[in-house]
Amino acid sequence: MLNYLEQGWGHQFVKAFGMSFSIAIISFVLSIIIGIGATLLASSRIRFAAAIVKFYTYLFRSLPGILLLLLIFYTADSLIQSLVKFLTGTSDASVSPVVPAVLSTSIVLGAYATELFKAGWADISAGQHEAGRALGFTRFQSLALIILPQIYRKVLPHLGSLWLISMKETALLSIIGIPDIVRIASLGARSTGAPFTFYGIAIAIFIAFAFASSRVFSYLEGRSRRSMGAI
Amino acid sequence: MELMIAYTREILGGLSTTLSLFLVSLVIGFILAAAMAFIQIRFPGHISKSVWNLMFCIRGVPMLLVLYIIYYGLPLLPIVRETFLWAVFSSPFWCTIICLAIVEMAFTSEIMRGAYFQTPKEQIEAARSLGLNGFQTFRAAIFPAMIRNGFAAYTTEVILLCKSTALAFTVTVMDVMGFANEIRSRTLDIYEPLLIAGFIYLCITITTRLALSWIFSLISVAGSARAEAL
Repeated sequence: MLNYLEQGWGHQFVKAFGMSFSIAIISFVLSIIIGIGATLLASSRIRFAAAIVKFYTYLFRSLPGILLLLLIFYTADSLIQSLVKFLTGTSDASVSPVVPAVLSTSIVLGAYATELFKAGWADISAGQHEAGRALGFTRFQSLALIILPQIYRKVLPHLGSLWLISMKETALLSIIGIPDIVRIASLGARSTGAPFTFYGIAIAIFIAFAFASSRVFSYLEGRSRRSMGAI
Repeated sequence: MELMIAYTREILGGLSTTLSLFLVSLVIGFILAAAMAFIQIRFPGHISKSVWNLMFCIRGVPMLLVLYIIYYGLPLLPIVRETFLWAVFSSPFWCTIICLAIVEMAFTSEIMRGAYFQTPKEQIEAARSLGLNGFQTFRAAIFPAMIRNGFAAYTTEVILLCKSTALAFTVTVMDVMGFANEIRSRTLDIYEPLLIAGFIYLCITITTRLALSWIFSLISVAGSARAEAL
Protein backbone atom coordinates (compact mmCIF):
# COMPACT_ATOMS: atom_id res chain seq x y z
CA MET A 1 0.00 0.00 0.00
CA LEU A 2 2.79 2.42 0.96
CA ASN A 3 4.40 1.45 -2.29
CA TYR A 4 1.48 2.84 -4.29
CA LEU A 5 1.25 5.96 -2.16
CA GLU A 6 4.90 6.68 -2.89
CA GLN A 7 4.40 6.28 -6.61
CA GLY A 8 2.49 9.54 -6.71
CA TRP A 9 -0.95 8.15 -5.85
CA GLY A 10 -0.69 9.60 -2.36
CA HIS A 11 -0.42 13.06 -3.86
CA GLN A 12 -3.38 12.28 -6.13
CA PHE A 13 -5.46 11.19 -3.14
CA VAL A 14 -4.64 14.37 -1.23
CA LYS A 15 -5.71 16.47 -4.22
CA ALA A 16 -8.86 14.37 -4.67
CA PHE A 17 -9.75 14.76 -1.00
CA GLY A 18 -9.38 18.52 -1.38
CA MET A 19 -11.74 18.39 -4.38
CA SER A 20 -14.34 16.21 -2.60
CA PHE A 21 -14.14 18.25 0.58
CA SER A 22 -14.46 21.63 -1.10
CA ILE A 23 -17.35 20.49 -3.31
CA ALA A 24 -19.06 19.02 -0.23
CA ILE A 25 -18.62 22.15 1.85
CA ILE A 26 -19.76 24.54 -0.90
CA SER A 27 -22.78 22.35 -1.67
CA PHE A 28 -23.57 22.09 2.03
CA VAL A 29 -23.55 25.88 2.48
CA LEU A 30 -25.50 26.49 -0.73
CA SER A 31 -28.07 23.84 0.22
CA ILE A 32 -28.60 25.52 3.60
CA ILE A 33 -29.13 28.85 1.81
CA ILE A 34 -31.62 27.13 -0.52
CA GLY A 35 -33.29 25.53 2.51
CA ILE A 36 -33.72 28.81 4.38
CA GLY A 37 -34.83 30.62 1.23
CA ALA A 38 -37.39 27.96 0.35
CA THR A 39 -38.71 27.92 3.93
CA LEU A 40 -39.18 31.70 3.89
CA LEU A 41 -40.85 31.41 0.48
CA ALA A 42 -43.19 28.66 1.72
CA SER A 43 -44.26 30.72 4.73
CA SER A 44 -44.68 33.96 2.75
CA ARG A 45 -47.97 35.23 1.41
CA ILE A 46 -46.93 34.72 -2.20
CA ARG A 47 -49.55 32.69 -3.98
CA PHE A 48 -48.66 29.06 -4.81
CA ALA A 49 -45.22 29.51 -3.20
CA ALA A 50 -45.92 26.87 -0.55
CA ALA A 51 -47.21 24.45 -3.19
CA ILE A 52 -44.14 24.99 -5.39
CA VAL A 53 -41.76 24.38 -2.47
CA LYS A 54 -43.68 21.25 -1.55
CA PHE A 55 -43.49 20.02 -5.13
CA TYR A 56 -39.73 20.67 -5.20
CA THR A 57 -39.00 18.74 -2.01
CA TYR A 58 -41.36 15.88 -2.89
CA LEU A 59 -39.96 15.47 -6.38
CA PHE A 60 -36.33 15.70 -5.33
CA ARG A 61 -36.75 13.25 -2.47
CA SER A 62 -38.47 10.76 -4.78
CA LEU A 63 -35.98 10.65 -7.65
CA PRO A 64 -32.57 8.93 -7.65
CA GLY A 65 -29.72 11.33 -6.88
CA ILE A 66 -27.62 10.28 -9.87
CA LEU A 67 -30.52 10.92 -12.29
CA LEU A 68 -31.08 14.42 -10.87
CA LEU A 69 -27.36 15.14 -10.89
CA LEU A 70 -27.07 14.19 -14.57
CA LEU A 71 -30.15 16.26 -15.51
CA ILE A 72 -29.09 19.38 -13.59
CA PHE A 73 -25.45 19.01 -14.55
CA TYR A 74 -26.13 19.04 -18.30
CA THR A 75 -28.74 21.80 -18.01
CA ALA A 76 -26.51 24.01 -15.87
CA ASP A 77 -23.49 23.25 -18.03
CA SER A 78 -25.17 24.37 -21.26
CA LEU A 79 -26.73 27.41 -19.53
CA ILE A 80 -23.38 28.50 -18.12
CA GLN A 81 -21.58 27.95 -21.41
CA SER A 82 -24.09 30.06 -23.32
CA LEU A 83 -24.02 32.72 -20.59
CA VAL A 84 -20.24 32.91 -20.79
CA LYS A 85 -20.43 33.05 -24.58
CA PHE A 86 -22.97 35.87 -24.32
CA LEU A 87 -20.91 37.86 -21.80
CA THR A 88 -17.48 37.48 -23.35
CA GLY A 89 -18.57 37.26 -26.96
CA THR A 90 -16.09 34.50 -27.66
CA SER A 91 -17.01 30.90 -28.27
CA ASP A 92 -13.82 29.30 -26.99
CA ALA A 93 -14.28 30.38 -23.35
CA SER A 94 -14.99 27.33 -21.24
CA VAL A 95 -16.06 26.91 -17.64
CA SER A 96 -14.76 24.09 -15.50
CA PRO A 97 -17.33 21.28 -15.09
CA VAL A 98 -16.94 21.68 -11.33
CA VAL A 99 -19.28 24.71 -11.37
CA PRO A 100 -22.35 22.90 -12.75
CA ALA A 101 -21.40 19.88 -10.61
CA VAL A 102 -21.51 21.95 -7.42
CA LEU A 103 -24.78 23.53 -8.54
CA SER A 104 -26.36 20.12 -9.11
CA THR A 105 -25.38 18.68 -5.72
CA SER A 106 -26.53 21.89 -4.01
CA ILE A 107 -29.97 21.76 -5.61
CA VAL A 108 -30.38 18.05 -4.75
CA LEU A 109 -29.24 18.57 -1.14
CA GLY A 110 -31.33 21.75 -0.95
CA ALA A 111 -34.47 19.61 -1.00
CA TYR A 112 -33.34 17.83 2.18
CA ALA A 113 -32.28 21.10 3.81
CA THR A 114 -35.67 22.63 2.98
CA GLU A 115 -37.44 19.78 4.74
CA LEU A 116 -35.25 20.30 7.83
CA PHE A 117 -35.76 24.05 8.00
CA LYS A 118 -39.50 23.77 7.32
CA ALA A 119 -39.80 21.36 10.27
CA GLY A 120 -37.71 23.70 12.44
CA TRP A 121 -39.79 26.70 11.34
CA ALA A 122 -43.04 24.93 12.22
CA ASP A 123 -41.73 24.39 15.76
CA ILE A 124 -41.27 28.13 16.38
CA SER A 125 -44.46 29.54 17.88
CA ALA A 126 -46.14 32.56 16.29
CA GLY A 127 -45.53 34.46 19.56
CA GLN A 128 -41.81 34.59 18.79
CA HIS A 129 -42.43 36.42 15.51
CA GLU A 130 -44.88 38.77 17.21
CA ALA A 131 -42.48 39.43 20.10
CA GLY A 132 -39.79 40.47 17.64
CA ARG A 133 -42.22 42.82 15.91
CA ALA A 134 -43.42 44.20 19.26
CA LEU A 135 -39.87 45.01 20.34
CA GLY A 136 -39.47 47.12 17.21
CA PHE A 137 -37.22 44.74 15.28
CA THR A 138 -37.43 44.85 11.52
CA ARG A 139 -38.42 41.67 9.70
CA PHE A 140 -34.81 40.89 8.87
CA GLN A 141 -33.56 41.60 12.40
CA SER A 142 -36.17 39.39 14.03
CA LEU A 143 -35.38 36.65 11.55
CA ALA A 144 -31.62 36.82 12.07
CA LEU A 145 -31.57 37.45 15.82
CA ILE A 146 -34.64 35.62 17.15
CA ILE A 147 -35.93 32.98 14.76
CA LEU A 148 -32.85 31.50 13.05
CA PRO A 149 -30.85 30.92 16.27
CA GLN A 150 -33.74 28.88 17.66
CA ILE A 151 -34.10 26.93 14.42
CA TYR A 152 -30.32 26.35 14.44
CA ARG A 153 -30.54 24.54 17.79
CA LYS A 154 -33.43 22.39 16.59
CA VAL A 155 -31.91 21.35 13.28
CA LEU A 156 -28.26 21.01 14.37
CA PRO A 157 -28.34 17.19 14.85
CA HIS A 158 -29.96 16.83 11.43
CA LEU A 159 -27.46 19.21 9.85
CA GLY A 160 -24.81 16.72 10.96
CA SER A 161 -26.41 13.99 8.88
CA LEU A 162 -26.99 16.41 5.99
CA TRP A 163 -23.25 17.15 6.06
CA LEU A 164 -22.41 13.45 5.86
CA ILE A 165 -24.91 13.03 3.02
CA SER A 166 -23.31 15.93 1.14
CA MET A 167 -19.88 14.33 1.49
CA LYS A 168 -21.29 11.05 0.19
CA GLU A 169 -23.20 12.80 -2.60
CA THR A 170 -19.96 14.12 -4.08
CA ALA A 171 -18.97 10.50 -4.73
CA LEU A 172 -21.68 10.42 -7.42
CA LEU A 173 -19.88 13.23 -9.26
CA SER A 174 -17.13 10.73 -10.12
CA ILE A 175 -19.61 9.27 -12.64
CA ILE A 176 -19.69 12.64 -14.43
CA GLY A 177 -15.88 12.71 -14.39
CA ILE A 178 -15.07 15.11 -11.57
CA PRO A 179 -11.69 14.00 -10.12
CA ASP A 180 -12.88 13.27 -6.58
CA ILE A 181 -11.78 10.49 -4.21
CA VAL A 182 -13.85 7.77 -5.88
CA ARG A 183 -12.66 8.77 -9.35
CA ILE A 184 -8.99 8.65 -8.30
CA ALA A 185 -9.54 5.31 -6.57
CA SER A 186 -11.14 3.91 -9.73
CA LEU A 187 -8.34 5.20 -11.92
CA GLY A 188 -5.75 3.74 -9.56
CA ALA A 189 -7.55 0.42 -9.31
CA ARG A 190 -7.75 0.13 -13.09
CA SER A 191 -4.21 1.19 -13.91
CA THR A 192 -2.42 -0.81 -11.20
CA GLY A 193 -4.74 -3.81 -10.96
CA ALA A 194 -5.04 -3.49 -7.19
CA PRO A 195 -8.70 -2.59 -6.61
CA PHE A 196 -8.64 -3.70 -2.98
CA THR A 197 -5.88 -1.28 -2.02
CA PHE A 198 -7.30 1.70 -3.87
CA TYR A 199 -10.96 1.30 -2.92
CA GLY A 200 -9.79 0.41 0.58
CA ILE A 201 -7.89 3.70 0.89
CA ALA A 202 -10.94 5.62 -0.38
CA ILE A 203 -13.22 3.82 2.10
CA ALA A 204 -10.78 4.50 4.95
CA ILE A 205 -10.74 8.22 4.06
CA PHE A 206 -14.54 8.37 4.19
CA ILE A 207 -14.73 6.47 7.49
CA ALA A 208 -12.10 8.67 9.14
CA PHE A 209 -13.95 11.68 7.82
CA ALA A 210 -17.30 10.42 9.18
CA PHE A 211 -15.82 9.91 12.66
CA ALA A 212 -14.19 13.35 12.60
CA SER A 213 -17.45 14.98 11.46
CA SER A 214 -19.49 13.29 14.17
CA ARG A 215 -16.96 14.60 16.75
CA VAL A 216 -17.31 18.14 15.43
CA PHE A 217 -21.08 18.02 15.40
CA SER A 218 -21.38 16.55 18.89
CA TYR A 219 -19.09 19.36 20.11
CA LEU A 220 -21.34 21.92 18.38
CA GLU A 221 -24.45 20.31 19.87
CA GLY A 222 -22.94 20.38 23.35
CA ARG A 223 -22.08 24.05 22.91
CA SER A 224 -25.55 24.99 21.67
CA ARG A 225 -27.12 23.09 24.58
CA ARG A 226 -24.90 24.96 27.07
CA SER A 227 -25.84 28.34 25.62
CA MET A 228 -29.48 27.26 25.81
CA GLY A 229 -29.00 26.58 29.53
CA ALA A 230 -27.59 30.06 30.05
CA ILE A 231 -30.89 31.57 28.93
CA MET B 1 -43.51 11.69 -30.01
CA GLU B 2 -42.75 8.42 -31.73
CA LEU B 3 -39.22 8.74 -30.43
CA MET B 4 -40.52 9.16 -26.89
CA ILE B 5 -42.65 6.04 -27.21
CA ALA B 6 -39.70 4.06 -28.57
CA TYR B 7 -37.49 5.30 -25.71
CA THR B 8 -40.16 4.55 -23.12
CA ARG B 9 -40.54 1.02 -24.44
CA GLU B 10 -36.79 0.46 -24.29
CA ILE B 11 -36.42 1.91 -20.79
CA LEU B 12 -39.37 -0.09 -19.46
CA GLY B 13 -37.33 -3.17 -20.38
CA GLY B 14 -35.28 -2.44 -17.27
CA LEU B 15 -38.28 -2.12 -14.96
CA SER B 16 -38.27 -5.75 -13.83
CA THR B 17 -34.54 -5.55 -13.02
CA THR B 18 -35.02 -2.37 -10.99
CA LEU B 19 -37.98 -3.85 -9.10
CA SER B 20 -36.19 -7.11 -8.33
CA LEU B 21 -33.07 -5.24 -7.16
CA PHE B 22 -35.28 -3.17 -4.90
CA LEU B 23 -37.47 -5.91 -3.43
CA VAL B 24 -34.82 -8.63 -2.99
CA SER B 25 -32.37 -6.27 -1.27
CA LEU B 26 -35.21 -4.85 0.84
CA VAL B 27 -36.02 -8.32 2.22
CA ILE B 28 -32.39 -9.39 2.73
CA GLY B 29 -31.51 -6.00 4.24
CA PHE B 30 -34.44 -6.17 6.65
CA ILE B 31 -33.44 -9.63 7.89
CA LEU B 32 -29.79 -8.58 8.34
CA ALA B 33 -30.86 -5.36 10.07
CA ALA B 34 -33.09 -7.27 12.48
CA ALA B 35 -30.18 -9.59 13.30
CA MET B 36 -27.78 -6.66 13.86
CA ALA B 37 -30.31 -4.75 16.00
CA PHE B 38 -30.94 -7.94 18.01
CA ILE B 39 -27.22 -8.39 18.68
CA GLN B 40 -26.89 -4.76 19.78
CA ILE B 41 -29.87 -4.99 22.13
CA ARG B 42 -29.23 -8.49 23.51
CA PHE B 43 -25.46 -8.19 24.13
CA PRO B 44 -24.69 -4.79 25.64
CA GLY B 45 -21.05 -3.87 26.17
CA HIS B 46 -18.20 -4.54 23.77
CA ILE B 47 -20.14 -6.61 21.23
CA SER B 48 -22.90 -4.03 20.96
CA LYS B 49 -20.40 -1.20 20.70
CA SER B 50 -18.34 -2.85 17.97
CA VAL B 51 -21.41 -3.77 15.92
CA TRP B 52 -22.63 -0.18 16.26
CA ASN B 53 -19.25 1.13 15.10
CA LEU B 54 -19.29 -1.20 12.11
CA MET B 55 -22.76 0.03 11.14
CA PHE B 56 -21.60 3.63 11.58
CA CYS B 57 -18.66 3.01 9.24
CA ILE B 58 -20.91 1.52 6.56
CA ARG B 59 -23.26 4.50 6.88
CA GLY B 60 -20.36 6.89 6.37
CA VAL B 61 -19.12 5.36 3.10
CA PRO B 62 -20.71 6.26 -0.26
CA MET B 63 -22.69 3.35 -1.70
CA LEU B 64 -20.75 3.67 -4.93
CA LEU B 65 -17.52 2.68 -3.15
CA VAL B 66 -19.17 -0.29 -1.42
CA LEU B 67 -20.44 -1.41 -4.81
CA TYR B 68 -17.03 -1.00 -6.49
CA ILE B 69 -15.13 -2.91 -3.82
CA ILE B 70 -17.65 -5.77 -3.96
CA TYR B 71 -17.73 -5.91 -7.77
CA TYR B 72 -14.09 -5.15 -8.63
CA GLY B 73 -12.31 -6.05 -5.38
CA LEU B 74 -13.77 -9.28 -4.03
CA PRO B 75 -13.23 -11.41 -7.17
CA LEU B 76 -9.47 -11.04 -6.57
CA LEU B 77 -9.69 -13.15 -3.43
CA PRO B 78 -8.96 -16.84 -4.15
CA ILE B 79 -11.69 -17.90 -1.71
CA VAL B 80 -14.25 -16.03 -3.79
CA ARG B 81 -12.90 -17.09 -7.14
CA GLU B 82 -12.44 -20.80 -6.49
CA THR B 83 -15.55 -21.71 -4.51
CA PHE B 84 -19.31 -21.57 -5.09
CA LEU B 85 -19.14 -17.86 -4.15
CA TRP B 86 -17.91 -17.16 -7.67
CA ALA B 87 -21.41 -17.86 -9.01
CA VAL B 88 -22.69 -14.98 -6.89
CA PHE B 89 -19.85 -12.51 -7.25
CA SER B 90 -19.41 -12.93 -10.98
CA SER B 91 -22.88 -11.49 -11.56
CA PRO B 92 -23.17 -7.70 -11.37
CA PHE B 93 -26.84 -8.11 -10.45
CA TRP B 94 -26.05 -10.10 -7.28
CA CYS B 95 -23.14 -7.83 -6.39
CA THR B 96 -25.54 -4.89 -6.47
CA ILE B 97 -28.05 -6.80 -4.32
CA ILE B 98 -25.35 -7.58 -1.73
CA CYS B 99 -24.22 -3.96 -1.70
CA LEU B 100 -27.78 -2.59 -1.35
CA ALA B 101 -28.57 -5.12 1.40
CA ILE B 102 -25.44 -4.19 3.38
CA VAL B 103 -26.19 -0.46 3.18
CA GLU B 104 -29.87 -1.05 4.00
CA MET B 105 -28.79 -3.18 6.99
CA ALA B 106 -26.61 -0.37 8.36
CA PHE B 107 -29.38 2.23 8.23
CA THR B 108 -32.33 0.05 9.21
CA SER B 109 -30.60 -1.56 12.19
CA GLU B 110 -30.07 1.91 13.63
CA ILE B 111 -33.77 2.73 13.12
CA MET B 112 -34.75 -0.54 14.85
CA ARG B 113 -32.31 0.06 17.72
CA GLY B 114 -33.61 3.60 18.21
CA ALA B 115 -37.22 2.44 18.08
CA TYR B 116 -36.51 -0.28 20.65
CA PHE B 117 -34.92 2.09 23.15
CA GLN B 118 -37.79 4.57 22.74
CA THR B 119 -40.23 1.96 24.07
CA PRO B 120 -41.32 3.06 27.58
CA LYS B 121 -39.77 0.84 30.28
CA GLU B 122 -43.09 0.74 32.14
CA GLN B 123 -44.76 -1.03 29.22
CA ILE B 124 -42.15 -3.78 29.23
CA GLU B 125 -42.35 -4.15 33.02
CA ALA B 126 -46.16 -4.23 32.87
CA ALA B 127 -46.07 -7.01 30.28
CA ARG B 128 -43.52 -8.91 32.39
CA SER B 129 -45.62 -8.56 35.54
CA LEU B 130 -48.60 -10.03 33.68
CA GLY B 131 -46.53 -13.21 33.40
CA LEU B 132 -45.63 -12.96 29.70
CA ASN B 133 -42.36 -14.58 28.66
CA GLY B 134 -39.67 -12.86 26.59
CA PHE B 135 -41.16 -13.50 23.16
CA GLN B 136 -44.72 -12.70 24.30
CA THR B 137 -43.49 -9.42 25.81
CA PHE B 138 -41.84 -8.58 22.52
CA ARG B 139 -44.98 -9.35 20.53
CA ALA B 140 -47.46 -7.60 22.81
CA ALA B 141 -45.54 -4.64 24.19
CA ILE B 142 -42.30 -3.91 22.35
CA PHE B 143 -43.10 -4.66 18.71
CA PRO B 144 -46.19 -2.39 18.46
CA ALA B 145 -44.27 0.44 20.10
CA MET B 146 -41.33 -0.09 17.72
CA ILE B 147 -43.66 0.07 14.74
CA ARG B 148 -45.17 3.34 15.97
CA ASN B 149 -41.77 4.90 16.71
CA GLY B 150 -39.84 3.71 13.72
CA PHE B 151 -42.23 3.49 10.82
CA ALA B 152 -41.80 7.03 9.49
CA ALA B 153 -38.02 6.70 9.48
CA TYR B 154 -38.27 3.26 7.90
CA THR B 155 -40.45 4.64 5.09
CA THR B 156 -37.79 7.25 4.31
CA GLU B 157 -35.15 4.54 4.36
CA VAL B 158 -37.09 2.29 1.95
CA ILE B 159 -37.50 5.21 -0.47
CA LEU B 160 -33.74 5.85 -0.21
CA LEU B 161 -33.07 2.19 -1.01
CA CYS B 162 -35.36 2.40 -4.03
CA LYS B 163 -33.45 5.44 -5.27
CA SER B 164 -30.09 3.78 -4.61
CA THR B 165 -30.91 0.94 -7.03
CA ALA B 166 -30.24 3.49 -9.79
CA LEU B 167 -26.50 3.16 -9.10
CA ALA B 168 -26.55 -0.41 -10.45
CA PHE B 169 -25.84 0.86 -13.96
CA THR B 170 -22.29 1.77 -12.88
CA VAL B 171 -21.48 -1.96 -12.74
CA THR B 172 -23.23 -2.72 -16.06
CA VAL B 173 -26.61 -3.86 -14.69
CA MET B 174 -29.29 -2.92 -17.23
CA ASP B 175 -32.03 -1.52 -15.03
CA VAL B 176 -34.24 1.53 -15.75
CA MET B 177 -31.31 3.90 -15.25
CA GLY B 178 -29.05 1.56 -17.21
CA PHE B 179 -31.25 1.69 -20.32
CA ALA B 180 -31.75 5.46 -19.95
CA ASN B 181 -28.01 5.94 -19.73
CA GLU B 182 -27.43 3.64 -22.68
CA ILE B 183 -29.84 5.69 -24.82
CA ARG B 184 -28.17 8.87 -23.57
CA SER B 185 -24.71 7.80 -24.64
CA ARG B 186 -25.91 6.27 -27.93
CA THR B 187 -28.13 9.11 -29.20
CA LEU B 188 -26.71 12.08 -27.21
CA ASP B 189 -30.32 12.95 -26.28
CA ILE B 190 -30.00 13.92 -22.62
CA TYR B 191 -33.42 15.01 -21.51
CA GLU B 192 -35.82 12.50 -23.07
CA PRO B 193 -34.37 9.26 -21.62
CA LEU B 194 -33.60 10.77 -18.22
CA LEU B 195 -37.04 12.35 -17.86
CA ILE B 196 -38.75 9.10 -18.85
CA ALA B 197 -36.61 7.20 -16.32
CA GLY B 198 -37.40 9.86 -13.70
CA PHE B 199 -41.12 9.44 -14.33
CA ILE B 200 -40.80 5.66 -13.87
CA TYR B 201 -38.86 6.11 -10.60
CA LEU B 202 -41.48 8.61 -9.42
CA CYS B 203 -44.23 6.02 -10.05
CA ILE B 204 -42.26 3.39 -8.12
CA THR B 205 -41.62 5.65 -5.11
CA ILE B 206 -45.22 6.90 -4.98
CA THR B 207 -46.50 3.30 -5.09
CA THR B 208 -44.01 2.34 -2.37
CA ARG B 209 -45.15 5.19 -0.11
CA LEU B 210 -48.81 4.22 -0.59
CA ALA B 211 -48.08 0.54 0.03
CA LEU B 212 -46.10 1.27 3.20
CA SER B 213 -48.77 3.56 4.66
CA TRP B 214 -51.37 0.89 3.87
CA ILE B 215 -49.26 -1.73 5.67
CA PHE B 216 -48.79 0.67 8.59
CA SER B 217 -52.54 1.26 8.89
CA LEU B 218 -53.12 -2.51 8.86
CA ILE B 219 -50.52 -3.18 11.57
CA SER B 220 -51.41 -0.28 13.82
CA VAL B 221 -55.16 -0.97 13.61
CA ALA B 222 -54.53 -4.62 14.40
CA GLY B 223 -52.36 -3.55 17.34
CA SER B 224 -54.94 -1.19 18.82
CA ALA B 225 -57.70 -3.78 18.36
CA ARG B 226 -55.63 -6.27 20.33
CA ALA B 227 -54.98 -3.69 23.01
CA GLU B 228 -58.71 -3.09 23.35
CA ALA B 229 -59.37 -6.83 23.48
CA LEU B 230 -56.82 -7.19 26.25
